[in-house]
Amino acid sequence: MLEDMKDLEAIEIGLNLEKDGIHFYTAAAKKMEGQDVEAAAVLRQLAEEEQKHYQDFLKKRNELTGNEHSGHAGIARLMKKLVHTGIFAPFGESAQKIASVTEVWEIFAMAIRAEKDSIFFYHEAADSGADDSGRRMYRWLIGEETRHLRKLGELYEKYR
Amino acid sequence: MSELFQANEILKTAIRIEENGIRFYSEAAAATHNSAVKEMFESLAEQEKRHLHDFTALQKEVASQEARESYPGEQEEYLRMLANLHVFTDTEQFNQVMSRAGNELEVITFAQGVEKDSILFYLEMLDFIPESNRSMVQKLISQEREHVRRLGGLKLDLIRQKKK
Repeated sequence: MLEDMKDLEAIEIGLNLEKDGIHFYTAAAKKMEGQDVEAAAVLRQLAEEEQKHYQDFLKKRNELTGNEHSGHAGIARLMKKLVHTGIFAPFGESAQKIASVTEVWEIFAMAIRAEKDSIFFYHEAADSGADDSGRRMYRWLIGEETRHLRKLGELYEKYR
Repeated sequence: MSELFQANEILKTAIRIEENGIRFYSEAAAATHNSAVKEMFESLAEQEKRHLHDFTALQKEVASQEARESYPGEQEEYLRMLANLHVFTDTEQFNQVMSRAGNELEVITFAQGVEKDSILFYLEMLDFIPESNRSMVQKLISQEREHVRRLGGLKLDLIRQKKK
């Protein structure tokens, strides 16, 4: 499953993870706008950073394939499998759940789970088939998502 | 932060995580009627017992050493936060899941979250552990990663069975 994951597959999954993050943080920021200015600003910032990560993955895919728009044929099946095997929550699910959230801390709890899943996945990707530059990218992303997790942890503790 | 979150304290948290893991897998094994799920949970409980034994031995070894150098405050704070956010430190959440222990898919998903939380905690704690003991912790991390995969495989089997 993850242990024999190919470079390009990991990048496609990374792209989807980051896209999911953008949607989630954007929806969460919007939800928080009228309630908590500080929390909304942090969430917007996180959405922007996930956007940057998304662009980094696009660039990496371009390096590997020479085509910015190329997809990976088997990726939908692999992602479905990763969701079914519990590596990730279903993509798009957390952004949809935002509407029904009533407590601020619930948003941060959802974000924390997603960031932890991403960090776990990037560790797996770094240790699977990534080349040196791929490993560097994953290590960098682990640092980035860890920073997000720290911020979210602070907010969670503040609001819980 | 005035108080150092030193190796001894970190290992106490690791021990607590493993103790709760044993309790969780044992209770979940007792609650299910699915033989494959029961077998998996019992096997994971056994493995967590070995981890508990290893961490306890490591803690004794570390406790016998003199206080070592201090660590960067930021990383220390992050580790403390990971401990606070570990699902096994949230008794309420634990009890909620156990009250629905008959729902195997939900329990497996919870278990995977627990294993991922443990992996992140152990990865971060590596820097706080004496270098000579790090390979032992790395081995435990590999085993916890294997748990996530095994639980994933079991989850997939259950989903396929339900579809039949």
